[in-house]
Amino acid sequence: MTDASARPSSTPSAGQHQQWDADVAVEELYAAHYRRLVRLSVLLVRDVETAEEVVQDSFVAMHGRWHRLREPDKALAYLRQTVVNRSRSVLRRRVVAARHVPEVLPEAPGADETAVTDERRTRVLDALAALPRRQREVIVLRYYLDLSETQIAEALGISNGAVKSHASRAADALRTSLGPLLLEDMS
Amino acid sequence: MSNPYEPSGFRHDEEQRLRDLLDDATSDVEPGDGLDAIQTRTKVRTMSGRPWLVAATAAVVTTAATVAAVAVLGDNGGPTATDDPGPAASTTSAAEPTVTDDASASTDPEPSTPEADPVPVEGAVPVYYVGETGQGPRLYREFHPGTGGDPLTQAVADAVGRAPDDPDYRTPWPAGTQAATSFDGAGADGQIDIDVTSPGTPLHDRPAGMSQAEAEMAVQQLVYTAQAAVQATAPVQFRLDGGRTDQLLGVPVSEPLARADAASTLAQVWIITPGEGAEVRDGFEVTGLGSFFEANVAWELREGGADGRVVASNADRPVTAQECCTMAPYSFTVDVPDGTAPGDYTLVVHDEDMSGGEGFAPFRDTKRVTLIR
Repeated sequence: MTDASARPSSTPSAGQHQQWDADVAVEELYAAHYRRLVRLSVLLVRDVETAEEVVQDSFVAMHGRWHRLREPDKALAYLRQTVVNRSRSVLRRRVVAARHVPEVLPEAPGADETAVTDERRTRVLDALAALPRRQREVIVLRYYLDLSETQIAEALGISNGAVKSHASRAADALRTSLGPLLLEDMS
Repeated sequence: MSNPYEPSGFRHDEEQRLRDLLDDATSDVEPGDGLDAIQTRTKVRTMSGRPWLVAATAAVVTTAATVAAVAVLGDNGGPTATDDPGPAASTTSAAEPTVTDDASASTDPEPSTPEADPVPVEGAVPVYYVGETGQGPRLYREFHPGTGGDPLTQAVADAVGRAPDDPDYRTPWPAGTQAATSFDGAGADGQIDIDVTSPGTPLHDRPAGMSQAEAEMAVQQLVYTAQAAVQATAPVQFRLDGGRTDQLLGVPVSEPLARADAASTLAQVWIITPGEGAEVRDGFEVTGLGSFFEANVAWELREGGADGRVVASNADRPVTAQECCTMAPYSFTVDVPDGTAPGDYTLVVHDEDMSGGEGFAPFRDTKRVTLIR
């Protein structure tokens, strides 16, 4: 893993945050988790600009709730939930004339390798986008954020059994859509 | 990282590979600086108009004549999976098929969202009003008896021109404001038109003395009211004095507007029944919608006004809403102690122990009731 910033283990231990007010909480959690949360949203909405808006909105919402959350772990859980829910809402609002994939990197020396990388990324994002929404959310929370089944169930407001069945169906679909990509070793 | 559960469907090596692929897929995403944008909005306690302007902007991609392509759905943005609590939410599933980039609409049916938002009176018309909260002006909702005409016409006319039943609420529109409405009847794919006019007060710019938050709430008040009246989350095109306008009360309205995010627009605690001024008996039922911390509904019945002596409260009878942290239905009954005198009381429902607050004013709703034998 290249970036563990939004993973649960990286939150400050109890005690460090006792003096945090809502503004400090925003700053601290922004520094630690903003990028990964944006990437999380990108996996769900496939658009960087939209993802940034979603995550910014989520931080604003978290700020308003800090007096109830008080702890970074709870705040981060709230941020994750809110990002997932708002990403979903954005998808619903989106016009039929869909936006496109994040920009393709410009042609450059070594373009062959870049093209391979781009194609791989596009295929992964395509495969995610083709999943039913719940399956996509379960997969992303499970394998991008490394949440447990119970955490996923809480974040999505569904049962553990539903998490399992979504994960299982998604696995079948992804094995088909990603095929060899799931078997190769990434260079 | 240890694997907390037996993954269904993937082998271990595939799981690891999938982690790598997901990390890789977004590894080129480097968001710009968002902290300023966040702090601009958290340090000033006004409602950002952005969430619904984003939706409105999306609508422009199609031509004005084909806004039918826009899928504008209720959005509470809250941290649980429940949908918008507004009256129009019951039409959500019907609107879903317009969303083409979300395959779940057809292949992954949702467990039905608990939609317990009954219209208490047959033929009643939903009307939103502005009320003051610890988070600035927010929307509350009343039901008015239908007058037998078009619900949309009546609801919007009431919203701009009729005093609310609950004296804690208000209409933000200048006295004398009138509104003509129409709806093309095409459900969430359709469009609602509201033509606002006021003989006395120019409505193009924000009047002196009206805050920006209040102006935005005024516009959203009509969006929510109109959508509730037609039972569809169709975008709303405003007009001013019969013609197109770029703004209303200083709020940009040139394009059809979606409803704004419920979490930042609606007061997060509503009492639905009893209504203001209702006569109640011992054991009366209270119903409402609210977003409560850990789903704990706090309430008191107070003698006289909202500051009166507590005669009954959730300390006697803990209450939880159906879900936490989103506008969810709640209900409870109020048993008054023996010997409580008949007379005027105030029912207060709120989302937190108000005595333990730290300067934060929790959301609440209050209703005056008369206790009878």
